[in-house]
Parts: sequence; structure tokens; C-alpha cells
Amino acid sequence: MMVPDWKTLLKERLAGLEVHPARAMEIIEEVAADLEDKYTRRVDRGEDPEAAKADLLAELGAPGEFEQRVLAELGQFTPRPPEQEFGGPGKVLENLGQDLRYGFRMLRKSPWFSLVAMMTLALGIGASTAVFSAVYGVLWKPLPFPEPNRLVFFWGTFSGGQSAATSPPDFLDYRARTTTFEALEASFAHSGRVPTTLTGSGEPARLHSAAVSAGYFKMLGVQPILGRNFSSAEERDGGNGVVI
Amino acid sequence: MVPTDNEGLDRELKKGSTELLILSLIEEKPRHGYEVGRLIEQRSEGVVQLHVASLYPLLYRLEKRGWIAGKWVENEGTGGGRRRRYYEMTEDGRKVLAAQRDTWSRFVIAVDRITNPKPA
Repeated sequence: MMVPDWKTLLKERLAGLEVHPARAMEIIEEVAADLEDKYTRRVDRGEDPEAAKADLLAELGAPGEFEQRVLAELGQFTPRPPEQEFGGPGKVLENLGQDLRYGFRMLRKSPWFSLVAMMTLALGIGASTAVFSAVYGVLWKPLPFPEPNRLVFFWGTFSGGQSAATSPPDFLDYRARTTTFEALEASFAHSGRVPTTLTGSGEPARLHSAAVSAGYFKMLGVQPILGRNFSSAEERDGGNGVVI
Repeated sequence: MVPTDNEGLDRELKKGSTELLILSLIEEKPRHGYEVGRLIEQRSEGVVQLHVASLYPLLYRLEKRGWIAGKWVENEGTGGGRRRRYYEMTEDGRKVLAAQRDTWSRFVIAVDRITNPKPA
């Protein structure tokens, strides 16, 4: 026996029920339960299912009759503009306050559930923040130089495809002949992690250093805080090392 | 054959008494619509029957007037967790019911005195 889906039948039949949509759904649910019980009782008594179904649908009266009767009692629903629906800014704040108080009471009512929910949220947010921080630092964070989108890094390769350092003579040739780049400069320890010890007056200090070509800082668009940039004469082979 | 309008009288009597019937049943204990309709049919021995098109708009009217209050109750036993809307009597409803009972009793007695006069 195919049991009728009374909710669906009523939704189709009462499509013109112009009360608040949520109320309309409640009415459909309530009447569907009534008709379902009556249907079950009648079929259990041995009545023909189709006849019982038709009989029960007839209880709704002529098309539109049930809707009219309900509308006469509940009044027609007309959606209000948002400012009336929410009652203006004052009302919104009042509602927000009520919602917050209600939420707080619910949290206190189930402390263990609240604790587990908060821990889950904390772990989720923490993990998301960590991943985002890493992705931001590696992929999105701009370099601390002007026009970082114009900076590129390149290196030589062996015949097998492995990356390799470029020799100083090759670099000088590239720099002299480049027409593609505004400037071409070299770092001889591009990782910037060559340990160095600074001695002189006072206690020695451990520093990280890198040997670079003369126009390196000019290419990056940065100036030393103290002193001056390297001059091209200081890049000369056999010249004295100059430190910034 | 003498024309009669028994159907019209029957309809008017039902119309005038249905609120009283519903309130009386809900006064006993909270009930859902199906239960109210079935009890009216059972206790009147089939004389009074309320179809959904009459019963539910009336329930909504009584609820709107504040005489009864509807509340959804989850049915965790039979019915596969289906919930029902139960109606219970409010304080205003009790007062209205008492007044309607009194009016109805006086009316029935008065009609009886006229339609079945006792021999002098």
C-alpha cells in the first residue's frame, strides 16, 4: 500500500495560503498529521485507500476554502520592509543584546558541550591561522623593497638541470650585456647566512654577512642608514673589502 | 410533504456551539487537533463532526484570542519522531468557557421550556 505524502499533497493544495511562510509550513505540518492519522485509521478499518484519500482531501472543502478560512482568522501576510522588520538601529541593538544573553545562558547550561565546542573552534582557528601565516609569508607578503614585482632572481644551471652558482666573470659579462634588466647585481652568498665575527672595540659580535656587487643596494632601491653605498671602484678585483 | 430546514438548523446549532465544544475538551488536558476532532465525533456519537477546514481555523481563532495556547511537542515514541501541536487552556480561556457554559445551559433550558411545555 502506497501511503500518501500528506505534507506534499497539502503544500500543492494550499499553495495560496498567504500567511507568514513559517506559519504556513506549521499549518501544513499540523493538518498533514491530522489527515495521516485519519487515513491510517480508515485504511486499518478496511476502507479502500484511494477512496479514503479522496474523502480526506475533500475535508479541505472547495479549492481555496480552507485558505480563506485560515486567512480570515490569521490575517493576510504582507512582507514588511527591512527597516520595519528589524525595527531600526535601536531595535537591532536590543535584539543583539538579547541574542548575546541567550547565547551566554545556553553556554552555561551545557558547560561540557560548550568547552568541547570552544576547544574545537580554537584548534580550527589556530590551525587556519598558522597555515595562512605560512602561506602569506612565503607566497603573498611583498618583499620589503620598492616595486618588488620588478625583482627577479636567477642562477645558472648544470647540463643536468641542477641549479648552480654563476662564476664572477660570467656575471660581469651578463651585467655588461644585459638589455632586458635595468640592473643586474650579484650576491655571493644569496642565502645571506654566512656567519661572520665582528671584532674591534668592545666585545666581538656574531653577524650574518653576504658579499655583493657594488650596485646591489642601488638595484634594491635602499640606502644605508649610516654612511654611503658601495662605489663601482670598490668592486675592483684586488681592492680592499668594504663593509656596510 | 411539508418542507423542513433541519439541515440549516443543524448547521447553525453547530456553528454556535463549536467553540464551546473545543474549549471543553481542551480544558480537560492539552490536546492536538486530531484528538479534539475525534473526541467530538466519539462523544457526540457521530452527530457532530468537524472537518479540518472547520476545526483548524477555529483553533487558530481561539489561539489568537488568547483562550488557548498552541505548543509543538516532539513525539519520541510512536509516529517516528513526528511532532504535534498541542493546545492548552489559558486563564482567559477558562473564564470564557465558564461564561459560555452558563449561557448555553440557560439557553438549552429556555428552549426546552418552550418546545416541551410541562402540562399545567
